[in-house]
Amino acid sequence: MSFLNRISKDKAGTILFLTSLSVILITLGIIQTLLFETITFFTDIAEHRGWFSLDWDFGGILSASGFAFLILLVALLIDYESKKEKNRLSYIPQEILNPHHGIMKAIFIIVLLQLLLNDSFLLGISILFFAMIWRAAGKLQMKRIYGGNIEISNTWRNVLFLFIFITLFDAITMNYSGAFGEFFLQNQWTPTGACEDRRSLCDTMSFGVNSLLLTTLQVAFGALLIAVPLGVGCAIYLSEYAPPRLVAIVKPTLEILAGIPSVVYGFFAFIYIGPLVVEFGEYAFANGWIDDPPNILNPINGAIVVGVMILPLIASLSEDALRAVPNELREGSLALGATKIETTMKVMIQASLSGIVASIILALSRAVGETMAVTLAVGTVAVYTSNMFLPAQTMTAYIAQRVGGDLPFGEIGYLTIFAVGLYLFFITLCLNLLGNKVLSTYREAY
Amino acid sequence: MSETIGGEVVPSSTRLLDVDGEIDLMIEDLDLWYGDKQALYGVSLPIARNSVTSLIGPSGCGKSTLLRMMNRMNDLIPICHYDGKISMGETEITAKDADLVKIRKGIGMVFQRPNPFPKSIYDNVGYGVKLHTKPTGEELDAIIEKSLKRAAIWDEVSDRMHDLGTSLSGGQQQRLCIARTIAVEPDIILMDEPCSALDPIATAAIEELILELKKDFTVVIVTHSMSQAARVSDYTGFMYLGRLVEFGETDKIFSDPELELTKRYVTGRFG
Amino acid sequence: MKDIDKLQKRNRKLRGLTELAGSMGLAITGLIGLLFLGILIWQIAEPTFIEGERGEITAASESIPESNYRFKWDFPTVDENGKLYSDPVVVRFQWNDENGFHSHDVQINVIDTRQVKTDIYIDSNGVDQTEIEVGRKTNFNAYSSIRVPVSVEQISGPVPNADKTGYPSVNSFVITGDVHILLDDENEQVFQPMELIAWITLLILVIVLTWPIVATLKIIQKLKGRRTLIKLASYVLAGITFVVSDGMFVAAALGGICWIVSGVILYRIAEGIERLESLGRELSEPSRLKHSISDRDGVLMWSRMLLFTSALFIPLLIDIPFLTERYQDIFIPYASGIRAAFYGTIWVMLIAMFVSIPISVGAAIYLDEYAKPNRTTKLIQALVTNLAGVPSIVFGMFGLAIFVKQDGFGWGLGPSVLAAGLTMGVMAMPIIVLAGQEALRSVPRTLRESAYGIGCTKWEVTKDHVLPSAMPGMMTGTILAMSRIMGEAAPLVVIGATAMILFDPEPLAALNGGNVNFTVIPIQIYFWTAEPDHAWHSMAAAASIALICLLIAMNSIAIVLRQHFRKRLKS
Repeated sequence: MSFLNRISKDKAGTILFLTSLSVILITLGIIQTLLFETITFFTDIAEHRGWFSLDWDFGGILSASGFAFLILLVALLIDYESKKEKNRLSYIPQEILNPHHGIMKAIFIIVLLQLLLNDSFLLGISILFFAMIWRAAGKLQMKRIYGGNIEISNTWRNVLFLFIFITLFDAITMNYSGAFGEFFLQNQWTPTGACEDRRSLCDTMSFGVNSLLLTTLQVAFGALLIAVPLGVGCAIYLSEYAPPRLVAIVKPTLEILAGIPSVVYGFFAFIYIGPLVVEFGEYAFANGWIDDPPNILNPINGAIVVGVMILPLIASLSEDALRAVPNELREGSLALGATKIETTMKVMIQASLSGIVASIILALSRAVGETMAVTLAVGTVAVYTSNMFLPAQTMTAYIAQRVGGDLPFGEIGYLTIFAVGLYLFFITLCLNLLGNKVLSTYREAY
Repeated sequence: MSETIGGEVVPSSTRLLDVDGEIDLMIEDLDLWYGDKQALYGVSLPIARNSVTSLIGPSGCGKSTLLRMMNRMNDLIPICHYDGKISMGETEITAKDADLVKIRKGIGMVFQRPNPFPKSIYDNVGYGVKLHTKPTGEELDAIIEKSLKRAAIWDEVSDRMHDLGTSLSGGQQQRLCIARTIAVEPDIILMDEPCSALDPIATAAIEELILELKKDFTVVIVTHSMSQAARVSDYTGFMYLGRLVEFGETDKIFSDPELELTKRYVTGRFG
Repeated sequence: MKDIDKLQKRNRKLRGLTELAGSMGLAITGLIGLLFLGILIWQIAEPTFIEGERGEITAASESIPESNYRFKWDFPTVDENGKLYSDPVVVRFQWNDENGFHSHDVQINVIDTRQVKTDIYIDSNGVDQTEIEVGRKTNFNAYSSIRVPVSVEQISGPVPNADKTGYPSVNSFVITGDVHILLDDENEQVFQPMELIAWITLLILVIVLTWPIVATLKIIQKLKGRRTLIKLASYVLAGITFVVSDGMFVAAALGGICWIVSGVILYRIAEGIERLESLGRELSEPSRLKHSISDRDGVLMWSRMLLFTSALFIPLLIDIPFLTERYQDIFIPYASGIRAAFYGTIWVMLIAMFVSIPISVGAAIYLDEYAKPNRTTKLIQALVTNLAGVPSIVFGMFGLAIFVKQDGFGWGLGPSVLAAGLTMGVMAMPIIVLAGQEALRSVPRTLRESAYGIGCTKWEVTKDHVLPSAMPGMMTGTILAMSRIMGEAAPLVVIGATAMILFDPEPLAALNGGNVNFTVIPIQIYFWTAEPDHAWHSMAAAASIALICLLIAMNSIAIVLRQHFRKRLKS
């Protein structure tokens, strides 16, 4: 009845409400199609291989559980200490827990570097975790001395525990199979095979999406590596330094960059960046840094081009964030005798940090979902390798290439693209939710 | 020499007045323009060491402009240009090649609205110190504690040094900004209506603080409240339409000013 | 000495340098875009010569009695008619053996027939032939049985496409075009007289409106009070223009619109004069007239835009075969064009606009003006914000499952223009909604309150006050969303756009059972880039430039609109 009442009262409102419902319909439609085909996909595999199974690796269990136990013990100890008013940390000399910040920075850089270079992911993450615990203990000690409510950041602790959990899981198992185990945890992606019946799947096929995911992340994070320094730098320059006339030139240039279609970027990657990367790769190969000769299509190529693509996004969003910082902060810092660069680096960036972080997260989401440029730049072979000079395939590129062959409805290939698509959708959705949340917090702040 | 502006008789430039004791900052014949619009006309003003000088006057008379000129904050406004001389001892502040960083270190500023950085209280105060020096942990702690004590806020924040500076109340924030300024140990502290955003109790606290600061620093304060000027300052300058109309010891300005205009303003019979 | 001065040790000298380096580096970053555009233009404009073939036939030995060298030439050059030809290639073989120095030239004629193949044999007597014929892109070999290395050098002719580094030479621009003014090459009129008259009338009226001169106003003065007559006349003239045109649809339509707009300008000026007179003002003050014409700025802007657009069709004839006449040629890159893709793009855009604009503007209005802040609203808002960030390829898969396929939930439209348009429309929707909301939010609250104050209903407030002031933002947002969609290829790849079709795509083929295949410019670029042959890459660059020009055109419309409305709101 209330619905009818509404119609008679305000027709326009009802019609407009219906139009806005279309948004819900579209979202439901997207999720429904992706989900429906994905479920069929998993059911199809499960019919052959079951849903999930794993084999245990007892050696792995021993070493991994040792690490886990140690980490847990230290973490619990610190937690216990933090709850007490007068904690024992103050007995440890201050130089150990709170050394000069230069030393502290150096230690953290070493810890992060070893994460990249370390062969064992488990060991690397454990070292990082120990460093975090050391920092937390240092902060607790500061609290003991100066007061104030310093808390070990719960978010970071949770993220780290998640990491540890995944790594441990990885270490104590030898093999996963079944529909879910294969899709989420294996590294081999060969979704085509010579089967008698085209529609069904056979044993030569395997669906470990990590192969695609790894390349996607390589490209996305590589892109961030290029775009974040340049983009944030550009934003700082535009909002703090640039004379208005230069801003009037550079901003439209950035808009032009943002407006160039991604397929044109793909063209650049294919024609210009690829050969350049190959030259570097050949140099690396000649020096024995990589094992295989480089190919013209490779993730580095994709990372560079995607980096240039997301640069304007980061630059413009970060610039907005920097401009939103009230002028009083800038003046306050300058009045203390800070130079412009000190003001920018120590005050402005900190004040607009959430905006900048949001721009980076949203750019990451864009980089993960980028299709055409990546399809043209990265290659067509799904391989799981850390050598970024070899052709590989991202999730989006897989979808774009597989579907080009006009897949019949219901065939296993048709189903795979939806499974990959749903995974991609989920990743980008999480990133967007996070990014928009961070964005709204900074909008509230000023 | 006098001229009639807006129906009031004002002197066309200020006589150089003597103040007791050493002169810390000397402003001589300062003209200032924002684009085509002239904001200061031939202002001359001596600032005595270890005293409080207040600038009063109606809105838009150029008080803040004059104050911001003293540590060249006006340089942030691109259309602003000026003529005249401000000198602090040997250093000429208005010189083209003046080292702004050194000047601003020597002449600190407290703003109208409290503007703590979005850092912890500790970092807020330590920020300026770390800019100019490389203190060790203990030295820094000592400087911070000393500054906070001098800004009369130590008791309130000593147990939460690592909370955000922005989490304090308005009056506390303003005192934190003062602490931040004195941590750098400037010679002169400029205050641009430091109490206009605060409630009466916080204002009283700041005023007390100003009187305390006078012992170590030279303070120049711009204020809208004549009673505040009368309470805290040793010297008072009255500004009107970009001119320093009258300058003298506070008692004299408030009890027996030379000019009719000043008298009408300080007694509140002024438009 | 103060405590702090004792601590002061730090050297600030380097900071100025840091600032300088930072600013320079960052300014360079901003110029990457221009660099890219430059490369694109260079790619199609600059003949891509590389140095001639140079190589060596290794010495024959006991184990290898005949060493060989592989040649391949592409078809490099294209004449005015798009036909390919090749200058003869001359290759010189030189070697030094016990008999002294030898030098032999061989002329190689490249012909347009594949698989014609002749090999060259070199022995101690010299070269067996002095002139051979080979087809383009055909491998052939030079065999040598000499015990010393033989050097190979191309001394004339186009550049060979040997091995992987070879590039063909391009002697002409890929995009060529002619601009004809009034008459074309055969001295025939490129316009219909009625259209030209309409265009000139509009031109004159725009000039009058821009600089009102008393003499001209005197003439228009006689027309005052004849609004209906002027309107009727303009419609009749528009109709006549349309009827007498022989098939040139676009030009006729633009001519008709020119007539109608001329009518509007005319009676607005007449009304303005009337208004002035009723106030007792003299006509000799034309500057007053500027203010008495209703919405002069708006009329001027629209009519100037119309004038400019129709100039490309009525007095001028811009003839770019690459864009509007040539289909893709599978075998001859330089004779291909993007006609099918061009029309495909336009149709897809039109359908997407038709689908997305009404719905998303409605949704924006609902969310900003009507919705109460309850859970549903929050949900919709969150969905909109996050849908705008969903990768375009996911929308493509949505389109594939819903619009293209017949099984499951599908509508079974096939890989058609209609399905593509619907998908693109769905993709544009969240972007337009967000832009619309932004625009609505910038409308001051006081405007709404004052309208409610005189007793408007909600819908009236929205329709008469809020929407008009939010319109500029909405239009700019919509145009920008559309231009973003125009460059998207990913969803259409998923939907199944075909690389090569040799007919104009039909928009409604999916419904009336025609050939549904279509292609758009980004897809064309994608497939051309993926071709191994460098000649196609020049074509891809050319298509990229065409696409970017289209995008810039759309964006400049958005900028003009924004400037205009901003000016109006300020005044």
